[in-house]
Amino acid sequence: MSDRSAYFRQWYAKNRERVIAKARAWELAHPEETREKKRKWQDKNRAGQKENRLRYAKSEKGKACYSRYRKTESYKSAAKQKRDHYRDTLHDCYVRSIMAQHLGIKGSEIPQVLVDAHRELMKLKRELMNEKL
Amino acid sequence: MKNCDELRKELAATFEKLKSGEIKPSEAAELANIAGKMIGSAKVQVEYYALRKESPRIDWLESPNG
Repeated sequence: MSDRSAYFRQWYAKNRERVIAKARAWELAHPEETREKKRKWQDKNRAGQKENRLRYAKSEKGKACYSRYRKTESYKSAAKQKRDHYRDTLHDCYVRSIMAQHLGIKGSEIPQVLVDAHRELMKLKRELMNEKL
Repeated sequence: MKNCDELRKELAATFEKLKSGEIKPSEAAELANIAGKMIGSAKVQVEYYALRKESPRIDWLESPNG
């Protein structure tokens, strides 16, 4: 068995480029199947992927990398764009953060039904502000 | 308004009426004021139970569709 796997490893090392090119060509020729295959893989491995990402983010290397990334202009502008979008569309996370500002609990602990009501209230208050201006 | 869901619907209706000019801004502001107090009160209740690590059923937050 080990001979067989050693042979295969050797064979793969020799033919790696050809195998990858062949697979890539198949993917380009069958976009629908490829999308479906990738979606299935994502669904199957979502939890593992998240775990890996978190493990990396907590490691020294990951921390340093993310810290460098957060200092870049592209990250800052993208983060601002995202924040503005959440504020303008009154996204759940924005409403929850506003509601939890002076509370001793996290925004995620607030019931959804209360968040929805607060969102409507914020919409109304914004409209009233616009009327005043 | 018997529950939070009804309050939300009322707020949404008021918003529409305000936009179409059916009601005056002062009337809408009154409702917004009262709604803010009701939501604030429910929020404090949720916080109180969360800090006591209790999770009782709060009738006002129960949705009839839920």
